[in-house]
Amino acid sequence: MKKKILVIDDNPMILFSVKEGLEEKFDSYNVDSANGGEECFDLLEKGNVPDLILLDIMMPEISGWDVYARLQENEAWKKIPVVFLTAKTDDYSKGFGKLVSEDYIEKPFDLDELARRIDEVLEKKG
Amino acid sequence: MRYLKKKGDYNCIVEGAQYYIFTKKLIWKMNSMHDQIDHTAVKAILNTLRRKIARRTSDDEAVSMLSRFIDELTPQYGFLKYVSVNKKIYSENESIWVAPELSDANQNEVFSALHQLVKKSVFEMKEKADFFFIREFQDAFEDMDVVHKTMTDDIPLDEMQHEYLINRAHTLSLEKNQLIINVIHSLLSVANTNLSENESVQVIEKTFLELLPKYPFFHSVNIVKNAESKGYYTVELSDDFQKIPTFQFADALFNLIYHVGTHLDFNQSTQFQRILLQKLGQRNAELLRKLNVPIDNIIIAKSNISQQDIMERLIDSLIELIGERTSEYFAVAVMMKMIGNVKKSHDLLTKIQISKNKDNFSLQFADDFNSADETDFQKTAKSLIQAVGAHLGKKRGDFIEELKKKLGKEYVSSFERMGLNFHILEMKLN
Repeated sequence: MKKKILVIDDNPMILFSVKEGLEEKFDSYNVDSANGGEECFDLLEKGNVPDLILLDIMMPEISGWDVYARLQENEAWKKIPVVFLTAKTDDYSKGFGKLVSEDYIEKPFDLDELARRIDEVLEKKG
Repeated sequence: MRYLKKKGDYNCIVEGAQYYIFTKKLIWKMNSMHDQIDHTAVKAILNTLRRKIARRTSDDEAVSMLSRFIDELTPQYGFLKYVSVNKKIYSENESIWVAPELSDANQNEVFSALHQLVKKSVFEMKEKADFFFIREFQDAFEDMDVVHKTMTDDIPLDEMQHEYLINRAHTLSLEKNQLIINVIHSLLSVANTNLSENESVQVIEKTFLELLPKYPFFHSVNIVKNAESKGYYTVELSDDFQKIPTFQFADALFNLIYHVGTHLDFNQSTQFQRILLQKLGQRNAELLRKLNVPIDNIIIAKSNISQQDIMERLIDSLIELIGERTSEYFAVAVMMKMIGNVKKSHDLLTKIQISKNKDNFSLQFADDFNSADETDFQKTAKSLIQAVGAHLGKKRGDFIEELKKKLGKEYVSSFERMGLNFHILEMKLN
């Protein structure tokens, strides 16, 4: 059964490359994309709960930090593993990001590496 | 093996005492290991030693120093010929190699050679081989698989630090009798800025009485007027304070200063500190600093900050610090998660409820939170700070400094009175 991934990023190119790349190259993922926090919560509220969320941090309107925090307030959503996928590489962001998330992947990223780390998290979560 | 309590230790400590304590324990630990120390363990130890020396000197000096020591010791310990020091490559682990043949050498001889190498290093570095050298060296083994983990267990940090203080006091030729007399005179002068001379003496004597159960040696301090003092109060000691262990002496001085401060009616807590520093003079102040008596951070807590206040301040400060780099909303989520994690090993955190929504957060404390044991409280706070700081990569050291700023002097002082040493915490995180 294909794993459902939700990628949240304000950059359409990233959304496209993650969705197309993961779905076409690996054939083991169904990828939904959300162009920001609001769209992500719309999807979740409609019952589209993914197996894993790939979350950008630097987004207008709602930052990835706030998206993460809001996810934690919902008993069902807080169980979804979150992997930060971001260009923020400073020690504090990495530190705090790793502190709460399942993984912290820096952009630019390699598609194979991304898939490997997604699988690792999903495997760990059972 | 508790060297602190060994009779005569305080009289026989010479420069470099810290290596003695450490290496004795190191060797004792090594001897008590079930696994034999092999060439990979020796290599790990020597490379760690090289790195710690290099941090205080330079890579060149560290390599050259160890190379020379190994040459000097090879006639006595033939197996050292299996150790080679590359003077040009300073990679993290590979500048010292140890051939597998060393694993066949006599174990006691290997321990002895390592002992000699550490000893020589400490002597060569002199004052650069401070307490932190020992601590860093000791800490380095925690993550080192090849050296059995138990080798560094049960080396109590406090004891190590106290030994260091003792050594440092000796190198400073600290005269404890004179220092306590000077401190008491200074406190009398500070008190005398608000009180009469007689009242000032009463305040000090009242403080001695309060502290007697913990520091019985205050019994031998007398504030008197006699013919020799020409009508002024003077301080006399009827016992020798030199024999008091330095850490206990330092602790007693801190408590004396702090408690006298609480009895004096200064409008601002910093006012007491400022006048005290004036009255002490530079030399006494410097000696107190070198004993780690935090005279620059003594805040007299007239308001009696409660444990709840302190914990609330700590959580608020951590949220503020994390929030500045991320968002406050996220920072609260981080703290909820951290409290959840640390709660597993520190029950005290079950008495705190943190709740949030998009716009605000609140902390609720159980009614009996303030009656928590002070040691438990201190350990819980320390674990919470470490849990957050441990993930910050190169910023771990800065994190403690920033946290201290957020907490403010008064709260930092409250933590320190409980025994939470921020310097050591910073060092551990680093």
